[in-house]
Amino acid sequence: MDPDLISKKELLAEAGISYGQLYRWKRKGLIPEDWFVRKSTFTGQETFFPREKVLARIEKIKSMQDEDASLDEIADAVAPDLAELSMTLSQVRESGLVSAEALELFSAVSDGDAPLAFGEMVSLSALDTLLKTGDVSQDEGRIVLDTLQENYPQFEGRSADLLFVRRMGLSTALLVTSDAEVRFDRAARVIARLNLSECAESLRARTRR
Amino acid sequence: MTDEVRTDIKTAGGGAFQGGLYGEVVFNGSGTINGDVDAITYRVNGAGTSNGRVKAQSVTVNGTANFNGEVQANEFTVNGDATIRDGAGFGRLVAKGNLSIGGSVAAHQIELRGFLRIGGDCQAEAVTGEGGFNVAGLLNAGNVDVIVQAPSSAREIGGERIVVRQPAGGLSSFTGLMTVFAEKRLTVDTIEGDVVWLENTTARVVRGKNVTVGAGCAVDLVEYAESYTPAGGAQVREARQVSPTQ
Repeated sequence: MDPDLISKKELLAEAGISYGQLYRWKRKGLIPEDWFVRKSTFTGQETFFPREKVLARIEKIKSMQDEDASLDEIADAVAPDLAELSMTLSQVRESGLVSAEALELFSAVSDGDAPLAFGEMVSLSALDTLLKTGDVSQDEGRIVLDTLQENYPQFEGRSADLLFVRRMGLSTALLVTSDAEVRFDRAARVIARLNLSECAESLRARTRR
Repeated sequence: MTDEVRTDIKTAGGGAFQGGLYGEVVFNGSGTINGDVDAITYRVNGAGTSNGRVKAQSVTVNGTANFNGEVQANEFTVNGDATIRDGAGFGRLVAKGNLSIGGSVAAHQIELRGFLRIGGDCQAEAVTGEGGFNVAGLLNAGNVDVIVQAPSSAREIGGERIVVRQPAGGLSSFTGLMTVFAEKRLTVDTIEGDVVWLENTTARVVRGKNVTVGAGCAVDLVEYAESYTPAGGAQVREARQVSPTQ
């Protein structure tokens, strides 16, 4: 079995929670729908989770519960409310949330100083992450941004991943659903795979500081 | 919401209307609304079809209603027949007649008095009452307490407390009666909860803290953390204790 996955039974034992808690947290949106991965096993269909993500999330939920946070408050903290996050480009600049390089690239394609839509904030955050890690160059950043601006709206309500791929000196970016398995020919290199919901989450965490 | 103008629609014969903002929408004869509707109350006494989304504080179906789109309602009551093509969100759902929903459902409370068919997942804080249901995906509820009166099924049921009962005066532990009551049976792949109490249920796996498998049940595997109580008439192939959580 995939070592990155944890079965539901293992998860309950390891995290010390009950079925009732797990289902309750799922109903409240504390654990995202697409972390519940159904797989065929030798006894039948069972549910698995991305091990590190789910354990980290449960840790966070429990620590917030220890501080007497309600489930709704926890849901707010872990699952960003998309509409709430709205800033103009100049506010972003002042906040220092993203690097100057990312802002410069971004302002070349956006018009004026209207409040950024949530998708644009995510695009900006994803671009910033890739530039900071040095995974993509300035020019390639433009490809990333174009891909996001063009296609991210179509993923509304679904969790999407951004892939950045190089092959023999050519590079391209693509968006896939987060649960998608993608394979390329041998010469291609996946330079980065970014979960856009996580980009949104980290952005949100930083705006709260 | 202060300046909004809401007119009413009331049909006696028949007619087709445009979507929009309404106070009261009442179909006494037959009628169709094309486009999205936002109404305070939406009532179908005859036959009503909406082609678009419907959002209303209360929806009551006494006749036959078709919703070709999503539905959002604080109170949704079906006494007749209703079909919702896509998903739905309810504060309180009272399904007394027949309700068929193509997508997934999120509700605070579901009161079952008839038959409920859901093409996706269903989540609610409480599902109570009696009748039949058919959930193609996961039924996730804080409290499920239902008397099964018609053949019912779900792929999975998960939650805090899951109680499935047979109708009163139904079957005793006398297994010879099982075939007679086969039609009032719940069939499910997996049930997982803190407290699970079952009658007349067929399941592949039942997992929980405190599990009671009552009369008329057929379960391949029970995994329990704290307690397990099988009834005389239950068929359980294997029951094993797993390490208790918390």
